[in-house]
Parts: sequence; structure tokens; C-alpha cells
Amino acid sequence: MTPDNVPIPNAAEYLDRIRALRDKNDHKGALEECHSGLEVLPGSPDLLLVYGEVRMDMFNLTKNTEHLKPALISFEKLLRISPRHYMGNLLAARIYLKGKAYTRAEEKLASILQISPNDPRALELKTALQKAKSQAREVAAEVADEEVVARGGTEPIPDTKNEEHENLINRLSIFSRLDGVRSLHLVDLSGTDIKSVVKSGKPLQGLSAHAVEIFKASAQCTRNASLGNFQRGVILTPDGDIMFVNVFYAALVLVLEPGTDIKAVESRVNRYVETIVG
Amino acid sequence: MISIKVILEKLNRRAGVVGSLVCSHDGMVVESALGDRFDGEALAALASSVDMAIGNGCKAIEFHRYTRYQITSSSGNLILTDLGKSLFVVILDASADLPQINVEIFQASNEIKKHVNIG
Repeated sequence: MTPDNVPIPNAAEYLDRIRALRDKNDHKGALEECHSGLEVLPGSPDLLLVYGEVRMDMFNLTKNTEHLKPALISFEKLLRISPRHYMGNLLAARIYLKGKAYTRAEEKLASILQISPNDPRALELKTALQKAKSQAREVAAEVADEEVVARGGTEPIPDTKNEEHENLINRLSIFSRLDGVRSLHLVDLSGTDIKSVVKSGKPLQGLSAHAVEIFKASAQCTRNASLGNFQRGVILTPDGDIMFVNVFYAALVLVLEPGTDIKAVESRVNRYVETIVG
Repeated sequence: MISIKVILEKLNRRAGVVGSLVCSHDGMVVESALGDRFDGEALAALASSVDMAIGNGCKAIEFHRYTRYQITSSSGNLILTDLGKSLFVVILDASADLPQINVEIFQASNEIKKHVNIG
């Protein structure tokens, strides 16, 4: 009960209403009901799923791709709460496939197939994904061949991860003019440096590989302690603090000067994460 | 001197504290007040692997040993404190008042150090 003795509705009540509206093809009404539900229960996996589904209904109806981004964000939020959620992974994989983010689509399908190796829907999507990847490779090879002929040199075939990395790098400007940051490092989950920015002091060699080890060990620890997905960690040392942030397909590491205002840094980190998820 | 168990149980009574544990750097449980929900031995082993990863990372960048590591996850926090000869792990849910709990952990750490750093 709230202080005004108004009962807080539970997710099931919202879901019933959303289901009824969807049955009547009232997508707009269903969307409004999802918004109301998520305002009260922002961490409800069922509401996050149904919100994404409603957005996908609207995409299917209008073919307006603007619905896919909020759908994907909702599925990603759901998967941060419940990483093995079947429908969350399946629908996110469909959107990633549509957006040609093949690596991410593969990751989502792998989460399903790890638990249910013979899942027909995941296998069907995997076949479609492999076909799309192979077509993309052919097109890329053709373009590369043309460029090689035109330039008289060799060019690498673009990596599908580059686009995601570019997005992470471009948003680093959020940390400019932030006092106390000694250096920033974006590291992919295999320990490879994506981008390092040293603002003061000497470059910190060898941080990337260790950062990923800390990141992975921390993620295991939080899962074991039933605390859900690892989001960030702050190491306090006499030489300054080190902050690790889970930025979905990479780790952002901030090395801070001793005595830096952690709250100010966290506020920028929140902005950075928000802009990445849209 | 109050026993480690009593110190952990006292801390566990604070709002938002789900459980606490003291273990050695190699992952052996010294004292646990985690309750039935958790596997203390598994958590001690994982805390030890985090500790080792941080130790190696700090060494690589020529930083001194860490004093505390605060993890934020989707459903709460986990705080790892280096007590010298052992590690102090505290699990918090999302309702915990972090600044207040940090003070409590600091005080509990000093009490526990009196036990674990003897000899």
C-alpha cells in the first residue's frame, strides 16, 4: 500500500489489460498501458518483454524502423535482469539480425542454444543469420575487390564489430572536461584495446588484459551472490581509484587521480551508458 | 574480544545487508554469516579470484594494493575489503544505504583485523 492507501497494481494486472488491447489491435492503447506499467514497475521482466513485443507489433504493422530501437532497448534491459530469458534473447536476436549486427545476434542465439541446443526457433534464426552473413561477406568481398583494383593495394574486409566500437568511442567525449580522470580505456571482452585516452601521467601499459580479468571475475561473483548482472566496479587504492563499467560489448575503464569526486564521475558514466542504449 | 561471527552477525542486522563473509586470499572461508541462500565456499573462491585479478592489475600499472572494491550490479552491491591477511566480503541488496553501510563496514573491518592479523 502506498502512503495514501492506494494499492500498487502488480504486473499481472497491467499484462491482462495490455493483452486485451493487443487482442483488439489497439497497439497505441497497449503501448500507453506498457508505459504506465513500466513507470510503476520499471524492473518487471514481463512488462519489459511485452513493451518490446508491442513495439515489434507496431513495426510489423507500419514497417517504421523507429519502433525497433525502443524494442531492442527494452529487451536488453530485460536481459540484464534475466540474461537467459528465452523470448528476450530470441526477439533481440531478430532485431540485431535485421540491423545487420550479426555478432550480437549470434550472441543472443548462443544464449538460447546453450540451454536448448535443438530449439527450432533459434535454429531457424541461426540458419537465416548464417545466410545473411554469407551474403554480406560476398558483397564485402566484391566491394573490396573493386577497391583493390581501383587503388592497386589491399584492403581488409570490414569487421562487423567496428560499428559498435565506433559508437562507444564517439561517446567518450562525454568525459572531456571532467576533473580527476587520468586515463580512459575501452577494452573489448577479449582484452584488446579499442581506444585509450591518456589525459595525464604516463600511459598505463598492460591494463587492458587485467581489466577484462577483473571484469569477468566480478561478473561471476555477482551472479553467484544472486545480485544479477555486473554493472560497474570501483577499486580504491592509495594511488587513485579505478572504475570498471559494463558497456554491453566492452568494458570502460577509468583511472582516476586520488581524491577525485566519484559521484561526479558516476554521473558522467550514467550519461555515457544512457547514450549508448539510446 | 568479540568473535568474527558476532561482528558479521551484527553487520548483517543492518538494513540492506544480505550476508557477509571473511575468507583468506586463497579462497578458504575463515568465518561466514551468509545464511542458507548462498554457498560460502563458492563465494569465497570467487572473491579470491577477484582479489587476485585486482592484485595483478594494480601491480601491472604500478599501483599499490587496493583497499576496497565496490561492485554494483542490477540487484545490489558487493563490497570486497582487503584486511591484509584476509578478505571481507559483504553482500548488499538494492535497499542498502551505501554511505552509511560503508562506515559500518569500515568499523567492522577494523574489528575483524584484530582477529585475522594476529600472528
